[in-house]
Amino acid sequence: MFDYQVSKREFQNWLIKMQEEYEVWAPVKVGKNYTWGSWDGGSFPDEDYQNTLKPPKDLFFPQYEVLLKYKKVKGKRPLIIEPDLPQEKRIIWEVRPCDARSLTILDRVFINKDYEDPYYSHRRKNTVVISLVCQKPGLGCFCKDPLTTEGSDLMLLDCGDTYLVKLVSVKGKGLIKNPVFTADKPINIPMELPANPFNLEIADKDLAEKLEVIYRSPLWRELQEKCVNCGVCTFLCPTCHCFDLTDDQKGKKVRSWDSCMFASFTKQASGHNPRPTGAERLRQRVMHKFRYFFENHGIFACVGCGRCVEKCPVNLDIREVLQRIKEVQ
Amino acid sequence: MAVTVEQVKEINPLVPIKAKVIKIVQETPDVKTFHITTIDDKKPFDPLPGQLGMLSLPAIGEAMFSVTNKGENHIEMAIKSVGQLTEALHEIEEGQEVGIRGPYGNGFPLDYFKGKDILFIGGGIGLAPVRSLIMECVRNRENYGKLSVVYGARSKADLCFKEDLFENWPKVPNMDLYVTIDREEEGWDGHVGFVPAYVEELAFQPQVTVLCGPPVMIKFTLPALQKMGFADQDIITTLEMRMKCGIGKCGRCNIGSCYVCLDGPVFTMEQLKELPPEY
Repeated sequence: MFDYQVSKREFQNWLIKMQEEYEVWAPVKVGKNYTWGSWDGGSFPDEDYQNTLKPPKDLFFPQYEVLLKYKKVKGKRPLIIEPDLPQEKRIIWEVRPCDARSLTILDRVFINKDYEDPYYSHRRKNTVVISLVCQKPGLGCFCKDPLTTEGSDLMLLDCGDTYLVKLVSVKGKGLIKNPVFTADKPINIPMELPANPFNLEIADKDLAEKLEVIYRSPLWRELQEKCVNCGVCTFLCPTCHCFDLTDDQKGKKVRSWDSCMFASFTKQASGHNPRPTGAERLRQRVMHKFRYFFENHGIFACVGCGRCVEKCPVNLDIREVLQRIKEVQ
Repeated sequence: MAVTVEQVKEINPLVPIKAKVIKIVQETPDVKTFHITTIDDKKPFDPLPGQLGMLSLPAIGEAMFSVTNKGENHIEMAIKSVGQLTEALHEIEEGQEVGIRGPYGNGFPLDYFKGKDILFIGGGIGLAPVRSLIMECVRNRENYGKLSVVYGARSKADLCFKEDLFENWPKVPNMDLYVTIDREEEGWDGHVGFVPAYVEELAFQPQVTVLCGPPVMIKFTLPALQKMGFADQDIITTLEMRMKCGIGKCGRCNIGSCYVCLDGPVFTMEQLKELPPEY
């Protein structure tokens, strides 16, 4: 059920008006891929828009972020100087529902009762997420529910010349004051979306239970033979959030994405490494997403966006890995 | 809009507080103990024995260290020079400003030790975290039973905390010290041999034991303790993992679904048996 129907022209005008107050971000085509960029105020997604190459986590938890700066003072230790917290108001639209949902997973890490990451939470609070329903699955997709509204503030469904609009969050509702959005009764989805098009319910509770007993399985070593530990799956994953903190020589304290696929991730100063080979590191990635995160937060740290499937240089398909795990006796 | 450093500190636990090193003790050729206070001479935080602190040198980096002792107005960290940051730390002089944040981790279960005899086993720099508990027992001597310490290092020069080992602790009532070095050397009339064999030779009655040292020491000491009848819940160790954030976010110190920086670093053998052997 959707709440409003608006013509694309009207929606565009509304969004242009919103640009007075918000930075509007949209998928922008660069070469063959879509990347997150400033919306030009005119274009709509092409027929071929499947999803962006990098997930929107970059907009909330940047790949490289200066947390603090130090100022060098001759003859003394450097002084800490005031950091800036992101304040700009943003709308990101045409986010795929799986990616919108991934933000609720990152929220569990960065905003919870014990800790609120000020950089992440400022961006999250100041950003409105408008998602766009997928109408045909990509090659690597395996989400459970293409109509999920988790993490969206508004949701759009493309109906040719018009959009159906669903109000999801209070933040989303607060945005819709313009009279172009009018409706007197809920609108049913007018077209047939492919019935359970993704149909890959691999990640279920049985999987978490199975992972508890196959820690020592030879399967990990076998899977590792294919994996080159390049880490692209972790960098393109919308929910992977491991990071490094470093001080650069110019006096910045930097947080940057890190990956459990790398040997240096856990290597200690003494040379000892608790995860010495690729097999332990591959196991850590799978275990973290489908067992440890599930134990700590009650959900899997995977939304089925399929980026890791499509971009893996050796075609190590996580869907097959999970299937193999379930088949281990 | 920029916020002040104070505001960020309040909301952001990743920002260290300013501190200074007021005293440096050269323990061994490659270990120094740093006494740290805040800029206004206060204790930076009040750690439980076994808890950790993140020490930083601006523009160089930060790393997690166990707090080996605390005083009225300071905390102490014993640090071995092994990497970029620790080498830089070994270069600094008394009075130098540093950054510190903490305390992190669970610390030793003090209530569990109350009234009991305790066996402490340390190897090399592994005595550093164990010492925080020994000092607690020495300060509140009446709360604990007999204290036995088995400590070994490669050579006499490599023994940490010599002042405690040879001057302070021998005077503590009902406390036995067993110090050993790996190979014979001139001027050493104490025990020679590795820690695991020494523990076995000393044939302790089963009791609560706290051990920390290099993986090879742990590996061979555990079977010796089990052979002597020590129970899994009475064998307590403190683990070391690479850490960046200290608050269970950065993802590298986990063992299974436990984060060493939050749920550790102190674990019993009983708990470790439930976790993947990934440490």
